[in-house]
Amino acid sequence: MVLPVTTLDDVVGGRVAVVRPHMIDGAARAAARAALEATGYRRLLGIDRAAAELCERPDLPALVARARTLATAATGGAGVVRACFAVRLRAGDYVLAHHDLVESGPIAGVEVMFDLSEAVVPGAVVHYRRRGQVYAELPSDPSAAAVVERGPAVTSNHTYLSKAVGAATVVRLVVRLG
Amino acid sequence: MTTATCYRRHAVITEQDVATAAAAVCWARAAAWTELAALTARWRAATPFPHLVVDDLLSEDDLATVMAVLDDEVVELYQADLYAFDATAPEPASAGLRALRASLTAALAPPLGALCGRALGRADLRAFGYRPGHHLLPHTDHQVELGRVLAYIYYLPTPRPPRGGELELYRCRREGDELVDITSAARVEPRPNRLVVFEVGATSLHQVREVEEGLRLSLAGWFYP
Repeated sequence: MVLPVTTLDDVVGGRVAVVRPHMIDGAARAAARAALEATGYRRLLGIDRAAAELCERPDLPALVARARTLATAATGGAGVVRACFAVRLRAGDYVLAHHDLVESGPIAGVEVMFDLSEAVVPGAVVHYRRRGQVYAELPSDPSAAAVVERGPAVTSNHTYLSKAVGAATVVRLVVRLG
Repeated sequence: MTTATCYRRHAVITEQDVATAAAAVCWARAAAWTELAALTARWRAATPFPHLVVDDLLSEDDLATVMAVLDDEVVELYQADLYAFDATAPEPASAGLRALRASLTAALAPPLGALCGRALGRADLRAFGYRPGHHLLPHTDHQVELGRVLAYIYYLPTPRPPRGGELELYRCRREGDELVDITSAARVEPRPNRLVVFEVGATSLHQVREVEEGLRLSLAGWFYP
């Protein structure tokens, strides 16, 4: 029997990368943002890697459950929650690919990312990269969620938020399962 | 990368004429270069890491020649997580830009080498255009395998002077693989006909702040042994 493996990347890289619209309505997003605010954010250190705020222990069980459902539907199996955090970005903020919020160690499994922002923020995109090349993205689309299968060859970055966005804020919840 | 554009400003005669003029550009005209001891003292005293700012680098005629060289240079959009800007190709495509690189290297490698205590042999050169929203986030240029010794930026006049686009230098220290205790320490305005040179090292953290309006034009590159 010959397995249909064409490249090493098919083995170690992520394969599923989809964006699901209309996953969470405005009221639920507002409630999630309020819950995150109540939990608290801390400013990330190290502007050579990221300029953003991080909420390390979000108390959003309903969204985590939704993430499991989405991951299972997309990949056939989700596993357990390995990491869950929220990122908040304002004008001038970013998270670079070589940082990728990897404080919890190497990433393997499925990542579900919810855009919890109040409104569309121009230019606010999450890029998923394989060997540095963008192959999938989560555009600014409040209510949408990205489901991305990740392996060691996949990194992500939150693009630089131009000062032109003024007071707009981007909030993203990341749930990693595996 | 997207569709190629160029910042045409001047009528060009021929590429060979421009290249000949570019080869004759006098990069070391500024009085500062004749007082190397004073320059070296400024270099060493500069914080957060050795750097130098030289204003009025070129004569008006030489500046016009540089702008004429750039008339026909094609730039493309370069975009990654760290940056967004327009730039010429890493290796100059035109005879004019190659001649500029040669004249700049010949004139500035000796005094800059004396300044930093390293023999400098070659330099590279690209033209950069930063439009609104363009930026280069905090990073160091240090990569052992590349051997960069000094970085330089030479700012050019533009029809719409930029708001933003300053070179920002950071004070920091290295702890293992990480830079820590990072604080902003200096900002250099992108003033036309100004040269900035700084040391490339593991802690020479810097950025080009976002251009919010106008256009920031420059030539930039590194000096190597």
